[in-house]
Amino acid sequence: MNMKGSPQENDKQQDQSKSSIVDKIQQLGQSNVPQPADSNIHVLPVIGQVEGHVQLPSQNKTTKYEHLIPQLIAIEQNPKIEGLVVLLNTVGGDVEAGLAISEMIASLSKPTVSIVLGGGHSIGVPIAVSADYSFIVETATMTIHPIRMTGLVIGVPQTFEYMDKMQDRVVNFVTHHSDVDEEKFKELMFAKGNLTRDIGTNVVGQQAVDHGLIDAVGGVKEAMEKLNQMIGDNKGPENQVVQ
Amino acid sequence: MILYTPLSEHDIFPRQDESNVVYHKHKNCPVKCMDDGNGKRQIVQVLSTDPSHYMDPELQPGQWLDS
Repeated sequence: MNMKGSPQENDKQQDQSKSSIVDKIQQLGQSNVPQPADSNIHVLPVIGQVEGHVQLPSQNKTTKYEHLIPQLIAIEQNPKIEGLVVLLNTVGGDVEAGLAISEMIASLSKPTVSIVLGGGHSIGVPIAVSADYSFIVETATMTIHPIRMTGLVIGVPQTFEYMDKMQDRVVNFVTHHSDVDEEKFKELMFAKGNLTRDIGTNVVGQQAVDHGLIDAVGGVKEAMEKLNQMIGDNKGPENQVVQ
Repeated sequence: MILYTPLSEHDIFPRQDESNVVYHKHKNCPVKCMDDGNGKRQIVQVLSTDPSHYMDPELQPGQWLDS
């Protein structure tokens, strides 16, 4: 029996292989991408602006909450996924979308670890602290500042009260999911002289840990070690191999 | 929608076309105006540091000025 295909089929396969390589070069800048091994850990990146109810202009890089929320539900439902790593490099964004993502991560039954890389600013702070254990790399920063709005305001007292309550939601979430107390967090939020265009504080790496916002300084290796340990603890003694 | 970010609004939302924007002084108050191309200008923003200029009805945004 002849196992080889016809010359036309061989040409077609070669063309498809070439076009796949060209696609990879165009999309990813390289001809070969590393494939993750079958893993029980899911990685969820939150990059750029957190986009909520309004689509942001095209020059913004965004993470859309309608993309993340179904993924978080799928992570919870998939028995093969035993842990979640959240990679954060965000400048903040929509308050309600950010809080929604934070609450989803915090309410997962599986162990979660977050790593702040580059920046985890504004609404990135609640997302970072929503994980069971949070890491920040030494060079990453987190900006803590009050919530602002611009534009026409109709009903100033009511709007002020609404903004105040919205800020309280952020403060309460952060203080309930990290070791920073409310007084300290508000002190950082309203500090003067640290930011050029705003009041607030920009905390870098170890400072975030010292204030109790983040659990430890570390990167990918530390996060994976911690998550694997938490997955082991989560399984309990009955699922562990008896020596 | 309320954005909570250290970026300025102009970094997120691109500026509008400002080719018909003119800056000039009216009643000794610096104002930002939109020129309609027919010799009339509409105040967009008062740029003064004098609080009394903000109370002057002739300098309210939306007022039309004859150039």
